[in-house]
Amino acid sequence: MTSAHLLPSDWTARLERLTLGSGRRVAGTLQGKRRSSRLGSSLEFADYRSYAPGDDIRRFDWGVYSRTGKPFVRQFMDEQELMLSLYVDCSASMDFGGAPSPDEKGGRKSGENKLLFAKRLAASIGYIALCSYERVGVCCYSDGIDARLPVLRGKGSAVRLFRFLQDMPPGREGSLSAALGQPGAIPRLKGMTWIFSDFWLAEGEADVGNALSRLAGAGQEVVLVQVLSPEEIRPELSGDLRLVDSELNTGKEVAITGRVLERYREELHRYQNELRKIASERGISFVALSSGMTLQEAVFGTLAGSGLIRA
Amino acid sequence: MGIGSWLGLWFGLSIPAILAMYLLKRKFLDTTVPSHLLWQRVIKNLEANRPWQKLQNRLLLWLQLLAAALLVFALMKPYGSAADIGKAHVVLVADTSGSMSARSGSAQGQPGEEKLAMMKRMIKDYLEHEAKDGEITLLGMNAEPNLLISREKDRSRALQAVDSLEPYFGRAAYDETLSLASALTRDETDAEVVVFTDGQWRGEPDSVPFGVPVKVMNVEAEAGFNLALRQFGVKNGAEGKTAVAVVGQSGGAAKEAHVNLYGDGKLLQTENAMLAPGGTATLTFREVPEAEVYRAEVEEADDYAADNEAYAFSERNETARILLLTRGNLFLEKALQLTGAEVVKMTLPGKEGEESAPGGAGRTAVPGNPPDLVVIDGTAPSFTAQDDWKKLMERTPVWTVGGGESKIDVGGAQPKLESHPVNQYASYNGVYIGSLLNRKLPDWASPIVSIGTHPAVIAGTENGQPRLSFLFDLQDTDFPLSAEFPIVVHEAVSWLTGSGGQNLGRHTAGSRVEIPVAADAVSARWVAKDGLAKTLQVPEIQADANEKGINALQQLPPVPGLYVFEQRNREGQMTEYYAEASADPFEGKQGTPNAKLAAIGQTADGKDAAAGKAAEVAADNSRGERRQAPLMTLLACLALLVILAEWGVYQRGRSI
Repeated sequence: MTSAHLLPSDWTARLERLTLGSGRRVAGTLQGKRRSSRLGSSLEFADYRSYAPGDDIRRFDWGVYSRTGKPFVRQFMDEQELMLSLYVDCSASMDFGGAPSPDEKGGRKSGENKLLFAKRLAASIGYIALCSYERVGVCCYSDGIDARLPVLRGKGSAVRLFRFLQDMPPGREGSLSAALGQPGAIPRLKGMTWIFSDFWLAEGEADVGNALSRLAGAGQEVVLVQVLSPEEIRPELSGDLRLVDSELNTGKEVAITGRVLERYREELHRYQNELRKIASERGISFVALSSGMTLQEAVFGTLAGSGLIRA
Repeated sequence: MGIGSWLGLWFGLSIPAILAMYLLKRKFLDTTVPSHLLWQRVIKNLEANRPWQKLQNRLLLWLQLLAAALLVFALMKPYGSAADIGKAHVVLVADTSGSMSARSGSAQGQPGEEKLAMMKRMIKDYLEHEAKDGEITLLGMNAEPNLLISREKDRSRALQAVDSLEPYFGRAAYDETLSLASALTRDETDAEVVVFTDGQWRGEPDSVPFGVPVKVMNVEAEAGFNLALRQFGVKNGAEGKTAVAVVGQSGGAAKEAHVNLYGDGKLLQTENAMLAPGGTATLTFREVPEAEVYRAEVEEADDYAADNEAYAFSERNETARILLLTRGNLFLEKALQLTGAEVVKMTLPGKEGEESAPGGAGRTAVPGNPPDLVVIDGTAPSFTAQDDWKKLMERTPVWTVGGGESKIDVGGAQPKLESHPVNQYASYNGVYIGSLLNRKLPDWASPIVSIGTHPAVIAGTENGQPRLSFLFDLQDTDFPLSAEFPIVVHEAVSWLTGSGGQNLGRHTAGSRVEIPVAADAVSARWVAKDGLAKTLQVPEIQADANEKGINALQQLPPVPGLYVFEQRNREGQMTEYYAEASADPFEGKQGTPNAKLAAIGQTADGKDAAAGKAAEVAADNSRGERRQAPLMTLLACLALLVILAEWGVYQRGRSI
């Protein structure tokens, strides 16, 4: 089992050059590459302050003292690693679209399986983070946290990340608020949280908003990545259909007509706008992706375009 | 476009049935979608799960409804007004009356086309375009309806029959022909009567009931002008013969008419008159020379040639005038009167054998009206051999009875008869003739009755005039007492007066005239002598005959002109009767068309109660001048096409 199943090797090589574009200074426990909001032990000079007894003598600026006779201590910026939490929606609704075979790259028309696409995206983001010496935590959730991977660090643990993602089966009904409402679901450390989901949520927008508020309140910089299959964006249905919900298994009888499809597209657009609104109200990024995209389009195009990933 | 059966509308209930089936249809295909989230919103907005909305965009439903509607419509037996492919039986009534021989539009200078030719063309057009497949019955008009072809399927024979149409100048049987057409189409539904006419129609065409549609096709021709000789006659007057002709014209403008008078083919006089539109003028020709047949002719060429000539014959007494010179013989006088002749008795003075006083002849005037026959009973008076009397005797048939001096006693022997018209019905059986005159026979004489070797009755022709002599005195026989006597007298008078035949006068062409047919006539025929008949080269027409001989009632030939009815007896002797066949004056009027004619089509429509549905359909047809063409096949084909399209829809998907 290699990472090739989830991510092609040439793809991982390209990812190594990227970093996550987190907008804020992060506070971690371990020293990392990421500039922290604290002053610390990095090589980056930050400020001077008057010496107080007990200060590290190594930081005493003797040069200033010799010129002015006043004791000053040099302060440096602290560099810490970023805590990245990846939440992948493994609900039944995600297991949709395309051929379920992971070998298939997925034609643009039918698109990839949504879950697989989300997993690949999550793996890509996680790999980028691991390569930048960030701490990466991965959760798969449906109506609760289904599985959790202990925090990983270092490039070497990428394989564990890939295997974890790859082995996650699609679960039950998805509920973001329920999953995040579980104890310990929200990361304890401040950091970045990416949520990969289709956001087909039975709960109301208010619950979603609450859950996201909790995440934001926990000092998380949240990125919502909506993954939809092309069939969901532009359904090509016709006739009298009993639309069966993949999660609830309830049917809805609809005589599909051109008008209905048009209305569907309007509704989709409105729904995405709602999500975007909820997100922007909380300072959260929202990105909509289609599983019909290639990873390259998604990562270098959409995600890089929105500044979430930097070269 | 019409509906054959509204009952078919009941099948229209299938349409709501189909709709109901679609509404009740509960078959939805399960399709898994990731989430209902959006669909729910869509459905909530659209409320698309209302029942009728399910039907809205469903091609299959619409196709099935269309198919059902087509089938229902087909069951209603609709028919369209397609181009007429023709009735099964078409009765063509061709107006072949004399007016059809008129030409049209000669007012513009060049002679127009004969209306009959135009009509023939119209009929052929009709046969070609309207009555394509039907059986054709063609009726012409003569004195009686003339059935030319009956239920003919062969087009070429129908066209031949149309070509054979000839104008009939006599009194055409207009309404009778319509009546026959009506009778021919009685109890038929798929038939029609088409009347081709110039509109000049005598009678009451609307009185003929029709059960089938009637079309009246008018031969559109410009009304020409016609100069007609309405009357023509020659009479004897104090100043010689006077001919009178009445000329009439029908036309829009005043016309001058020149009338030429011919006597036995020679031009005698010409008179002219101005004729106001529709007016008549009387032309008088005075001091007309003697001729046997007079002909009056309108010089101007007009559109209707049949009435441009008229004939008249020298006036001849209808009843023979007999001058009877007798010293008194009641038997003979009565017998002569019994022949119907006008007998003028001239009583001779004195007894038999007495000579009248010399110079008495001068006092005995010749009668003003020359007699047709002079009968001298007894010795001829001396004045008959002098001057005017002599001339009269020379050009008048003479019959002498007795009158000789020397007699031969024959003793009542049985007379022997020769074949002669006078002897036609005589047998002299039981007649006692005591003595015969002993006289040298004149040159003309040949004995027709003789007793022994002695002639008793002699007959012959002198100077073209018949002569008859009874060589016995009636007083010497009991012949006047015999039943045969009046018959012999009658035969003698008719032989003596009727030898040259008679003229039969003027009659409408085609009418039946009574002709004195001689009992011994074996053959008779009409021969065209002059006029239109001669121009058109009317062939000789054999007289009507039956097993008993030649009919006394003969039909005049149908073409106007002068005819001779020639009779021949066994000996080959020919008797001629002149007769003029004149065109029916109605045909020359060129008047306004009969308005009732246009009404017969509508009358046929109006018989709703009697003719029932057939007439109703017929009414529709004749109004539209088209016929019904069932649309069933077309609709069924359309329905099949729709079903094929449904198959396509099944293959493609279920909805639009």
